Amino acid sequence: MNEFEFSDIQNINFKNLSKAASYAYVAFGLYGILNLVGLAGPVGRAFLLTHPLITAANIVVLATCCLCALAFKRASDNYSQIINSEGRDIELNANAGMQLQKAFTWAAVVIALMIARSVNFQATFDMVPR
Amino acid sequence: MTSFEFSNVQNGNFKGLAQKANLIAGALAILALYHISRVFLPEATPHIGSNATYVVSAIIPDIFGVIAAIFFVGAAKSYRAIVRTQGSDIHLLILGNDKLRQALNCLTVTMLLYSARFVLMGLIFKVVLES
Repeated sequence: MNEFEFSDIQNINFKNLSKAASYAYVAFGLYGILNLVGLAGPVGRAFLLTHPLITAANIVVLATCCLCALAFKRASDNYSQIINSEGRDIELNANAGMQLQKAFTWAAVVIALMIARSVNFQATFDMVPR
Repeated sequence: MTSFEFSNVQNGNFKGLAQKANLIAGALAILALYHISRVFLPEATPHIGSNATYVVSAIIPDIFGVIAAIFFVGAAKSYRAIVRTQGSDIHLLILGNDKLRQALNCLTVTMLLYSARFVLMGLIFKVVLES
């Protein structure tokens, strides 16, 4: 069962999926880095002193983005290994699937936090120390 | 080759992947619905910038988000079909992977646009702080 090998055409499918997962890794990583920059910048420092809860929420977004990006990277690596390895295609596909499950869970958390931040957007703007 | 059947454990993995794909599709749909609802509720529209600015900064990323959600649901259907059907597991896997690839590409565009929006909002906050 586990010695199944995907054909060359099917390998192209996995190669493209690996690329897509790596792009998602970059996108979530970038969003996380921007949150870090935001935390360290003048706005983030102002919130740290006046509204630590907002700072805490941004730290959660940052941590979740990092976990999500990491899971996408691992899934991408597993999919790219399917093309190069022999005799482990099904096992690697299963590993990639598990990593994608983790990535999707973390991505859903990131989106939920984005919704929460969007809901509180006006309130946050009103709280900006002037 | 194409008559390969995944084991029960592997089918469980595909079922889980389908559930998580639906989860992220639901989250993206809620985010889009929230932003759209704010456009149609003028009293809830943020005071920063005009309504047009809000539409551009929030709705355009959501368009890609909704497209990603549609592809995620499509991929989830293919992965569920792997569990239910027999004799076409590999074909369904490739089909599901293709939809997942499109979903991930749209999700990437969505996140990049939200990153740009995050920078824009940060700059607005900075200007307010400095004034």
